[in-house]
Amino acid sequence: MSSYYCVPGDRLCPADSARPGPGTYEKQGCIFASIAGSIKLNLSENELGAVSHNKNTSNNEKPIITVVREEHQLAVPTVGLLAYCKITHVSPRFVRCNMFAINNQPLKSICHGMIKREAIDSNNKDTVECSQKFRPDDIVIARIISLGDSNSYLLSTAEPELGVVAARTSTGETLVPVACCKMRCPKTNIIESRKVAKIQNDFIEETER
Amino acid sequence: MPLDTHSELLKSIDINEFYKLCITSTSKRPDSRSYLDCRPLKCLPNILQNSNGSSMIRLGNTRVICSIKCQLAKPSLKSPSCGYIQPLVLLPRTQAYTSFGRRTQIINNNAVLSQTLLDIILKSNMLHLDDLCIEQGKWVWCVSCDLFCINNDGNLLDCCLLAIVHALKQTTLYTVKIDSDTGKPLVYTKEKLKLKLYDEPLCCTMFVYDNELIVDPTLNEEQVATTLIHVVLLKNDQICLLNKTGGTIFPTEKFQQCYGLAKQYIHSQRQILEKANDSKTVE
Amino acid sequence: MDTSSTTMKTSTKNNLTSTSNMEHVAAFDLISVEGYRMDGRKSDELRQFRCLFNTMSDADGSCYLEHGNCKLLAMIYGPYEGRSNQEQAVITCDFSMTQYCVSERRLKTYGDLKSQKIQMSIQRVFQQAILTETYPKSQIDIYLKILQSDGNDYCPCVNATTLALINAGIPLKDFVCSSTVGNIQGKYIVDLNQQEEQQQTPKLTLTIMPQRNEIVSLSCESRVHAITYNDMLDSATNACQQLFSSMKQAVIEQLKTSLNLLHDN
Repeated sequence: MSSYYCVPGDRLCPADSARPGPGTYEKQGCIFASIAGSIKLNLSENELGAVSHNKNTSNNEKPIITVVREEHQLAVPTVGLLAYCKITHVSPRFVRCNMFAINNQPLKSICHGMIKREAIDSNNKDTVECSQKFRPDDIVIARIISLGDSNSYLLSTAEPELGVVAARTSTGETLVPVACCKMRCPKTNIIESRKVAKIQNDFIEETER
Repeated sequence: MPLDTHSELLKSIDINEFYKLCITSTSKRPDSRSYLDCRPLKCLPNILQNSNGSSMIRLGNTRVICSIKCQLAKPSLKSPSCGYIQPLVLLPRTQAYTSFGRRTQIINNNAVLSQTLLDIILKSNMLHLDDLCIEQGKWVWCVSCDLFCINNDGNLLDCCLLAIVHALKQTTLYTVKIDSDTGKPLVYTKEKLKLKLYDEPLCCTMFVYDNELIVDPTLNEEQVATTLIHVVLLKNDQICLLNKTGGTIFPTEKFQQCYGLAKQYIHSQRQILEKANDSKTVE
Repeated sequence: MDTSSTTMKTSTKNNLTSTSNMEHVAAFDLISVEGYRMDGRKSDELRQFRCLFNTMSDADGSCYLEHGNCKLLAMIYGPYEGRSNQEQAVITCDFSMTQYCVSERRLKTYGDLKSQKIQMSIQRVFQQAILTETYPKSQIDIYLKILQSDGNDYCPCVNATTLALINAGIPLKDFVCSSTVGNIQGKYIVDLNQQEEQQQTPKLTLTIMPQRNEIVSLSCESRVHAITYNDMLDSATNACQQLFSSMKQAVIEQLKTSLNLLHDN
């Protein structure tokens, strides 16, 4: 447990001895703290071995200096991360959804997302019908592919592991996934079509055994 | 996935499901209270200097500040010897954009709460409007109770009523004499008079979930609950207001149970209020 | 024409309220022979400073600040998905008062010219201080609520906003501290309260980033001789530095307690 606290504006070190990480910024050849927290110094992997090697240091060999907040960190939607979302609106060309968690970290307030028709499935992209893949109120895991326009982030489910993880019929019964594009109602045995996430499949097989 | 983030996720996906799971698995509420427990209550008197009386109530995370201001006013022609009292509730405008719906809804809520409080104050006879008269037909006191909700975590009516009662208890009025020559009022700021209170209405809010009565709902529980029941009792356990806001129907015997519960709950509230008052006078 | 008439009205109204409830104190009474001010402070002493963090569970960061008789709440919402498509975060500020914050009950609590001015200046100050590039396309809302006013509202608002932003974990270039200084009887007194504020003497409001020694904003809306101006600036800077040390202490206290809580669990 380090007891070095810093507050915004504290000068941490000169810029040529470390690289600025999260919670810091560089100005006028110095690294300053930008949030209040405790100071952490991360050595990069080859640092330990190559300390005395040569003085023409590339950026990689400097330690990264970061400031860590002790409380929860705010989750921000970033390209490449996985988002949990709830479908709100299905139209022929795209699907709208509300993101409520990113990488298992709940967001403080929901963000709007959009999945375009081409980004729903990786195979037979041209014949995809949105209404055959998602229904409103489904819970979906999707990947953020772009920050999109001012209204919504662009999401994609074109990977086997991405898609619907939980869904219900119109009567409120929980659906059970049976194949990569089918879900079954356990009471009436009616099959509904969805873009199902693959993780769920393995899980179901395990539990049925 | 750690358990706490899992429940957090479930909460954001489906609040009803989350609540059901919590109640059925532990038979306790999500904040680990049992059905009939209320949150810790704290009353702070006289927190504002510029008011005639003020108070802050903390019930769990719900915080309400009440400020009583008395001003001279002309009475209405209809009742020349009656003063005015106007409660005004303000939910922070900030919360309009987060989980509390649109701004108009907030304004509606403000109006509903203010009117309910006014009704309670008038019906319970907690203060006689005749006492607020200075000279008949000329000058009366206008007592304005401004309630500011710093943090809304459910059960606002209980808090607001507690805050008003607590603040009115601290309230002092200036002595006013009418100058006989000019007819103008002269205010003596040094001589203060306590406002006389005849009763103390306090409110108990509960809701029905799965045929169980649960008191002191938090904001999440208010979303889950289909119906809220408000019971306002006076000092001698008389009912002053009984209000059930639509929603699920339930048998008449339940109301008996409601009354019993409210009695207990309000007794404990009253004790805390009195303690807060006593400690103030000792200091 | 229309706007000018409304300004006239509000200003006369304000004058009325201020004269009716404050006994007028002549300037020579403000500092006693021994060198103490009306409230017992020395000329370079600040009012009592106290703050609490995390007062609003709903907000991302919040702070309750007591500065002498001034009590206010600052709340930060955000950064959240904003409507604009800019490369940097947009900062909005909403300043409002309560009906009971001054001795006369006021009916209008927001949107008047005075609060709009404060709103604008706070927005500008923090657009500078926050590292806005960190959050593209997003918005940060600052809400300020005065519970009890004591003369100048601007300075406590700036200080409370800084603390609330730190509480919310939003990256800042530096602290932002603000203080006032006045010149009465040839003495420079810092951190004016309401009585001192109402005097017709030179006043200067200074907002700085204390660790970089940079002036963010400065306003001096009275006639000052150029020689005294420099001295006033010096004492205002000193006051801001004092304020900074107490703010820093409060932040570090808060950090330590949250760390202890984390490790106990």
